[in-house]
Amino acid sequence: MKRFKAFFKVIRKNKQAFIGMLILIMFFLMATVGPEIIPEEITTNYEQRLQAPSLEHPFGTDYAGRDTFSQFVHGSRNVLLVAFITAVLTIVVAFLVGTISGISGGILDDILMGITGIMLTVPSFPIMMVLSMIIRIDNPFLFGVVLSLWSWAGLARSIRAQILSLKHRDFVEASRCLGMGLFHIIFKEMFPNMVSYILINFISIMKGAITASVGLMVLGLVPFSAQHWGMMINLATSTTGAMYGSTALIYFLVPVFGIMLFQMGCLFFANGLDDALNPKLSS
Amino acid sequence: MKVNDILKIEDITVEFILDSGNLRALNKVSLDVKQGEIIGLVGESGSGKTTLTSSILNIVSRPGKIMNGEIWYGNKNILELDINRLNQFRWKEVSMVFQAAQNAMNPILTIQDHFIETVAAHEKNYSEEEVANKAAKLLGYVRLNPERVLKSYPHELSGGMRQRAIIALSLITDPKILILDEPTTALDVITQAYIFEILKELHKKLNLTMIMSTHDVSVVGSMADRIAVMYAGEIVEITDVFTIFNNPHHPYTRGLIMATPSLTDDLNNRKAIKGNPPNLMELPKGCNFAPRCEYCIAKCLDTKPEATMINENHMVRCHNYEEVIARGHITKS
Amino acid sequence: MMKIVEVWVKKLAILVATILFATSITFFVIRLMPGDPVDTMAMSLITNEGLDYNQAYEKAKALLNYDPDKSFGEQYMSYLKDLSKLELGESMSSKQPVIKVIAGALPWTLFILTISVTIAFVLGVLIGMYIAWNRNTLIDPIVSVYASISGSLPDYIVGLLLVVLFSTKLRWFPSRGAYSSQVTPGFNFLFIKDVLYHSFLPMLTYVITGLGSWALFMKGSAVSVLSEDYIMAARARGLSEKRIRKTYVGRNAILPLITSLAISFGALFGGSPLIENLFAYPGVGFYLNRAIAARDYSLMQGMFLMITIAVVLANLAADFCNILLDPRIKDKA
Repeated sequence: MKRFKAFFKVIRKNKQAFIGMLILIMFFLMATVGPEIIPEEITTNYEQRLQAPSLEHPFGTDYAGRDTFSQFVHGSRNVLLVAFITAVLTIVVAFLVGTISGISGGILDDILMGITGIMLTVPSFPIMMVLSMIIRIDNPFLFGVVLSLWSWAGLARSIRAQILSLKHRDFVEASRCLGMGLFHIIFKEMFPNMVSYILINFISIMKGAITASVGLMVLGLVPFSAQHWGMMINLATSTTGAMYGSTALIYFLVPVFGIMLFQMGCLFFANGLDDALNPKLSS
Repeated sequence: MKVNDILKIEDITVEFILDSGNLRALNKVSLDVKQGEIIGLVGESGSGKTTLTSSILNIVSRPGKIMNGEIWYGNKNILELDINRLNQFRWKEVSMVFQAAQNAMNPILTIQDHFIETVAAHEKNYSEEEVANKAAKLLGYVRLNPERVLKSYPHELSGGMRQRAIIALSLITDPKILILDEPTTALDVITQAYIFEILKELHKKLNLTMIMSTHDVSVVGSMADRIAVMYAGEIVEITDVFTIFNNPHHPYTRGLIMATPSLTDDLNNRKAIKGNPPNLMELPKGCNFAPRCEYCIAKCLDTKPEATMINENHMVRCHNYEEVIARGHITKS
Repeated sequence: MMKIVEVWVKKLAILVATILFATSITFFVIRLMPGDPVDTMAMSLITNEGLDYNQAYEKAKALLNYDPDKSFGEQYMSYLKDLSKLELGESMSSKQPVIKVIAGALPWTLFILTISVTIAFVLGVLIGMYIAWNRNTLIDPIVSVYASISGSLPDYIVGLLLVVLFSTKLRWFPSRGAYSSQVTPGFNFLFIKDVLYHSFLPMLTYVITGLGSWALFMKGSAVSVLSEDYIMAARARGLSEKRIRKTYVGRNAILPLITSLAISFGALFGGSPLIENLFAYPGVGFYLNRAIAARDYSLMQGMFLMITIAVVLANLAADFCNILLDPRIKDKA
């Protein structure tokens, strides 16, 4: 409990991290509570298509006359869910690989690092494009799995590096003399300090997952759900020619700003937290 | 200015402007350096030694600022030179061997590059070959192998080698004064002794004036002609080296000498200086050393002591130095 | 010596394994597709070329490098054999050898990427250096804000916004293609002008997205170099500010960026499908996207292989640059 309090104090002090956290909380609420509050509009109403913002439709309507705001809110659930799942899977895999590799050393380490090296070099986005051909991605979990396949490699490497440096630190040697196992040391000593590290990475991975998932949808390779922001952009540019009309612009800009705001939240939070925890000596 | 004074530091005050307040690192410090002498600056960390030596080259690091005072070299005040003349003055008249000399060189340039660019900054006409030859000669003085060292990058040399290379580099433009700021702190005792030998040779050979600052008084004792003792941003005593060791007049100096172990002495006779180093942001109303001083009297808590000239060559900044003298000479059995 | 060889052998092994892995993925994808791709292709060949079923089937097998009747191992071997001879088959959608399509597409991607990345890098480095050198400027917070915003928008979104603004609303620039149909390709002025006109928006997209992070990266690197001891030592030696800025801060600060540059070039290659699709720019990414959409397996394989090779080469270049430019790594490697 004390750790949490200290943690929040750090965030409150750093303005950047604080703003980032606020933004993220706002989106989190939107994704969890929003869809319950705002009714989902499934009925099409072509007479009302591509309306400008009004009291009734704060963000206007889409190409089929549906309220854009409600789509945005409902879409946020999908967007965040996919990003969340990706981040969780990525971190779990990265930890497993990194820890095993770091602790065991030897051939297992070489093999795992070789695999990591390959995964890092292979261009991730084109591979996901290719995989989208054979894997029909129709639920957020599957989407998360595919996205996480290519994001664990970098994190695994840095975790392994940290474990290796720990292995040779003095207090580890001392603890070993006292009879404590390496595993025990890692869990008791290392992990508690890594909470913030994990958090920063978690947010960064979410940020990357959104960029990739929206990208795949904009290309039309993942026909996931019409309410996902990426799909909204895709539809805005293809079917409604938002690029050419004026009211359709709102339908296009809403998900764009949504993405931008969320990514900013991630950026601020991760950077701010990083600054707060690793103060650099600026002259 | 006396006839054989080469450098005259007058009333230098340096402050560091921090978020939490102003830190006065030097308080109206004055010092005359005689031509050809080796003068030692002794004091603990925070006493102001490095700030003082940095001031001479006007490179006090931010957020420090020289608030007032003058430094006279010849008939010019260094602190008022424009940047071009200042750059000419630097290294050509006064050069410096830094404390962290390990990291004083550009990692992407060879040792030879360092020599050449330094000369290039000061001379319009020079030939690279001449510079290389001179550099080789200087490297020879510091007992380094020029063929190997000149072509090397800094990281390819050991700590001691780098230190010696820096010393050679400090002489490439024939300075008159060489400042050495803790020249051997990061080195082992044997290399330390070696380097001091080299410095003594250089002093004789090139008739250099040397200002050597250190926290270890015994180290400078073997080399210096005079020693200036600093405490909390002020010089508290200056005199010749023998008097400093045998008959110091300032309580702090006496404390330093008494605390220094010697090979011929019983460790039990050593006495540490009690108390803690001063907080430069909250200095006492009276004498800075009063909280730790054995000889402290009422006046010391109240008024800052002025500089008293015992004789032409001996300055003490203390209200109660007579009692320090009364304790007698320091004898080490 | 042995260590260097060992390190490079490991690196090369990973590179080869990467290319193998990447191409094997396309190998598996084809075999995992629902339905029988050979049959599908044969059918379309029958319709388009009037062949009978057996002929069409044989041709389909050749075009796809895929013979479902052979065992898995045999298939893989023949696949690899063809790959090593660079026999990539024929594109179904354009009836041209895949190699030819790649050769036609690659220059466009390289053209856009090389120029954009260079501009973004050079501008970013200059801005970052300026901010670090002249502290407390107005530009510093502006750049930070800019970097936050541009770092939050994926590049394809920036591209979309640019198209909406400059193509649709203002009609200043075209939104599709590498050059208009009215111009004849060749080394003539009209063509070159037209190409530049069409490439402006895609390049602007890359520059806008990348500029901010390069500036911040350089600023951070330069600030940390500025706090190094050798900078102060250089000033003490009387070196000019110009020299210090260029050879001391500049060259040392840019080192970590060079590696990033090569790697980011590779990453942009991997992300090319998005921008090229948006601008209908006939580069490698564009054709990859089209091939996937049209289930044109041979083209897809070829383009994917091309992208992988580009990324692998970029990483290799990054390693090389590092070793070349930093004397400290030369010895470790």
